[in-house]
Amino acid sequence: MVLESLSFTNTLYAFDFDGTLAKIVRIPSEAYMASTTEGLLKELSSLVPVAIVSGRSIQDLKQRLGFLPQYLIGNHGLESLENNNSSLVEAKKVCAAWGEGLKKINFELGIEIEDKTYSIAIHYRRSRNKTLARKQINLAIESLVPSPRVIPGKSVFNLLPSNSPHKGAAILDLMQKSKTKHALYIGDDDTDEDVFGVPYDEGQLMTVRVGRKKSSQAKYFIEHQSDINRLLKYLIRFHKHPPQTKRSRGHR
Amino acid sequence: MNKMERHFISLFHIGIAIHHFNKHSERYLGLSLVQWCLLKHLIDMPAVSAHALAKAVGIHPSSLTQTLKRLERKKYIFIIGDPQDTRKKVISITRSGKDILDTTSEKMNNWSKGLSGLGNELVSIQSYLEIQVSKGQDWS
Ligand SMILES: [Mg+2]
Repeated sequence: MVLESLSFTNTLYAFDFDGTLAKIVRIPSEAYMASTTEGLLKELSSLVPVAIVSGRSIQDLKQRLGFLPQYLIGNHGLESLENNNSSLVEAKKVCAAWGEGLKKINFELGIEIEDKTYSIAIHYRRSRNKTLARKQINLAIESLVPSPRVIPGKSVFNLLPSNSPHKGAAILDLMQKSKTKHALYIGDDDTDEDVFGVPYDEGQLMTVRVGRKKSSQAKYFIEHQSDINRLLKYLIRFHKHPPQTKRSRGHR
Repeated sequence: MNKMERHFISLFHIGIAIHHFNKHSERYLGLSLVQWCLLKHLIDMPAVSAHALAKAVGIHPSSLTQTLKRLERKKYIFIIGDPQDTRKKVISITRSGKDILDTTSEKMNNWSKGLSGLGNELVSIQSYLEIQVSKGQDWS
């Protein structure tokens, strides 16, 4: 019932995409939200400010969504719907250079490079020998100039320019933009620890991780990605049809 | 009695009056001033530790304990264990808490009209008292 108390103040509801709104799939380009999830998210976003904060590029995200929530953040916090600043130009240049450096990876190991313009994801989900793939990737990353900020995820290494903003900074920025006093953030991966671990004023942010993990800094957990629908339903109910107490029905 | 002494007597009476006001408010509105103040803060801090709540309100955590217990008994808040640290507690306001706060705030607004003639006097008195207390041992 902690969730209900979020509906009493101005709360921003922010979600990671892969592994949170959409099921993790073997081929990342085939990840989509289940239609029920999408319907629920759309309904929630008609009631309250909703954000999707993903490692994917905005362009990629847009193709996967049947509607646009109020806020869309791509490339781990680097890209938003309206920004087009110098850090993006710089990131684009750096990623192009890295792309060259990564060509020497042995792609027979099932490693795939995803160029997201402002960041790079190196996937090895389809690799048969993941240990060897990780070793190869680490070697390649070490040789990159300038050194990237590396955020490991589920069978993926995300490379970002070292000074780029992360998801945690993006959430704080979104709270300001949306004039909300509080935020709920749900994510499933190591990249989301940037949000879970940000030293917010206590009581300003509620963090939820999909899947229990001891070392995670998230405060709450939901067990499975499929639980997201139940959570969305709760949020919609609390905002749309608040349960009536005796007092709010008007008789004491 | 000189002017200073009369001020101190007034302060004493204000203390008593606030105590009565609190009781009156709890009896007729369902919330004392302290309880109202805590709920008001909890609205924007949906799940918070007692420590952070005390800090936000500006009082010592130990002074919160009794008020929190009363609010919990009235079912205006609920307290659960912190999922990350079992020694800590997380406090949240309930729907009933939100409802009583709404009705009470309306009435409080009407009451506070009676204070509209005041300038910064309340703040001045509060600051004076807090400064004196913070001086601690310098008093003697
Ligand atoms: Mg994810």
